[in-house]
Amino acid sequence: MARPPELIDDIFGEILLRLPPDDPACLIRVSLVCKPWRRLLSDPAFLHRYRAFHGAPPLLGFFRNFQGKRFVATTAPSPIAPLPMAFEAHEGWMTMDCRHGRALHDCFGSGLHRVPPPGEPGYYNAAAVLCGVDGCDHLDFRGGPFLLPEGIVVTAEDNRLGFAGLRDDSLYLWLWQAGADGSVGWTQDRLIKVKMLLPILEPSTSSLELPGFIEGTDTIIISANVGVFAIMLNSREVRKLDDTRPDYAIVPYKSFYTPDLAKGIMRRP
Amino acid sequence: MAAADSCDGISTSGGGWEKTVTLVSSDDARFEVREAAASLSQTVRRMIRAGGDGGIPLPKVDARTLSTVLEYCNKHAAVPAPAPESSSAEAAAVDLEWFDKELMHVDLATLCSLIRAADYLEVAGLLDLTCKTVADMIKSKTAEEIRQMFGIQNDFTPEEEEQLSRENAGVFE
Repeated sequence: MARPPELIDDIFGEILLRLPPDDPACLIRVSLVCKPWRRLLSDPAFLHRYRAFHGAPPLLGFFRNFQGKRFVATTAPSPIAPLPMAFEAHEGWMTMDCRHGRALHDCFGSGLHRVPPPGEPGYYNAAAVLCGVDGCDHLDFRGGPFLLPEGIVVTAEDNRLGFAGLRDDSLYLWLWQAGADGSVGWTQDRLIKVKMLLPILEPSTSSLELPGFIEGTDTIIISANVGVFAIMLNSREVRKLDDTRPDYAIVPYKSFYTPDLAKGIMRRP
Repeated sequence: MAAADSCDGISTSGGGWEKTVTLVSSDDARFEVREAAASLSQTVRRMIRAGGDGGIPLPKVDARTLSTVLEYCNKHAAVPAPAPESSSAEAAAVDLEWFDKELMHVDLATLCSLIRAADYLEVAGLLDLTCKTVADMIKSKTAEEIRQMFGIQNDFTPEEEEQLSRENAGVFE
């Protein structure tokens, strides 16, 4: 075959840019081809372009809380090292949310603003970090204030604040918006009959819970007696994430896992 | 008007008159192309605006590659704009997808020539299509298989290799 070495110098960046972000192992393998490729895949400008090109970061796994507290990777290699023993053993510790590739572990503190959830108090069991940085494209972590409302807060259409809850096996979505009288509050947005999407359930033993959502992908996570499922709300596509039901909120971990972040590698040659 | 100098014209089957341009490959082959198709290349579009005699020279693209690029441009520029979400829009999209897939049934060397041409000519859709095709080819290969594919020299020292394979033990399995 005609060898195209000039391609390597010219535009292989365009090719590597299109490698799939939901397969971290592929990016790492490619970074081991040669030094120029390795340098490119550790170059901050290229990595910023890579994240911008692919938009919403892929789901790499999720954190379980309380019993069976651990990180469940949905890709290989796992982007998260096993949680420290002290974390797994300490009952008071919880993973509250992940954003920009970082996890928030039970760290309510000063400077946080609470928004009351709609509906009945005590009905919800998760918390979320919302990026409060004005103009943040969510591609790079830049620090800044975060808001911490109680309950399962979701990003609704047009990046509006949304809130999700389950009742009678249906998923209710609310939007935080101004009403006709100008006052701002929760208004119900839509209702989705979730149970219809999970035909494998035995009706007698199943009850559904809503342990989390995946931001930027229109995806809600539902747990049932047979496992944990990610449901795309628009396409109704269902993907099984784990076999065992979590006891409490789980926190999806969504990030770009580029070779520069992989353990120990990508020191510049 | 200067811009008209490099433009000719042909009559279309519908009886209309469509403006064409002449593109000249690195090996002096001349291609007469509808301006609408040629303008999918931002590079050509700029050169049409700049004007000139005797066709637009493209010294970095040979005839064989240019002919494939123009096949792509002709097909993609020919797509009418039916009402979105209509059945004809859907059929057109399926047809284009099929066309693109067929166009990519070439060997790696040809794909690489097309990537370079699409990059130089700034045909965004073709650049994306060709790069995605090659990315799909390499995504499940090992580092060694990728090196063989492109004829890339492994420039890591044995010590560096050993350290990298230690650090990435899980990835090599």
